[in-house]
Amino acid sequence: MSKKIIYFSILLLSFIWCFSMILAPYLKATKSGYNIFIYFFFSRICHQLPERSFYIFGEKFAACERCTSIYFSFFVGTVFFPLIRKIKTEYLKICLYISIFFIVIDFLFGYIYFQNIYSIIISGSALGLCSSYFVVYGIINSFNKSNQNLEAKKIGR
Amino acid sequence: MEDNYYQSPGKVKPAIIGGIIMTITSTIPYLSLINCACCAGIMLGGLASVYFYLQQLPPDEPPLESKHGLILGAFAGIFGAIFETLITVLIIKFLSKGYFDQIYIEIEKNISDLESQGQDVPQLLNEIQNVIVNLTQEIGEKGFSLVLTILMLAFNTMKDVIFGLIGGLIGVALLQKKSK
Repeated sequence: MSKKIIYFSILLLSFIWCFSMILAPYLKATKSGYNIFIYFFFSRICHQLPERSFYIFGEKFAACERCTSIYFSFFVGTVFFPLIRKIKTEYLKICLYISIFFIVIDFLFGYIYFQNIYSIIISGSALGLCSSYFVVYGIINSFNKSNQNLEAKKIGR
Repeated sequence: MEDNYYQSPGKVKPAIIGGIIMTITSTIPYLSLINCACCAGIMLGGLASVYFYLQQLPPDEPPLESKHGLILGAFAGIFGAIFETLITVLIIKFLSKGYFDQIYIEIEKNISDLESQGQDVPQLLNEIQNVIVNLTQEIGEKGFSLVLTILMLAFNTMKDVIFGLIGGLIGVALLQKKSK
């Protein structure tokens, strides 16, 4: 499979994922009734607490602030993947470590002490952005035959 | 004949360990809160499967590739989904019969909202409501529903595989040693 097809497939899936999070409040605001399926889908992977959610059309997003930040920044990271890949992998790896550390601290503080919307958005966005490179790069490399090495490799060469 | 091909270690054992971690972080009360952070527990399972796979590799191993992380994470997701479904089925059977209460109330509220505003209720909503009523009755009578189990397994597989493979790919990025 060509790299471009894989890349655009990931981009499309990521877009649908993010779009459905906005579609749910829109459907709820227009009283279509179908919003329940999207909310139910996201309820399996997110707490969807009203006090920790963004609002649009007067209704809450299908996922909480943290998840929304991660998914949207993941989408942005996927859009800019061709540019991000020019950055040295080592730097991106350091960024990923820092973003994981930051989100863990923020998550723990959120449940123990206090929750700050800015820290949620920044930590979530940082994680989504940094992880997008490794996820997109990994999937492209896994499915693209030109980048694959056979698992059985000769010893001594 | 001398076998000079490198045989990579099995992926099943690390994937099972990853799956167990996913199940633990998804089913244990309070600990499952970790999944509120974008299914971090499930991604942790995928990452753990990569870690345990790396532990099995001999020192002169060929470098770990992204596809290994993808496969390990996806495998861990499949195992995780199976274990999670089994535990949920047991919980429903012995502890909680009101599995559908939340969604039923939501659907009921949506339908009554639509009716009160004089709008048409989508046929699909009524059908889903009927299915839920039937499933609830089945669970109430037998304590088990095959349809629900299959649906749960399908949903858990989708969720765990997606986030598991993301965890696996992040695991490769984080745990891979620099190739010489």
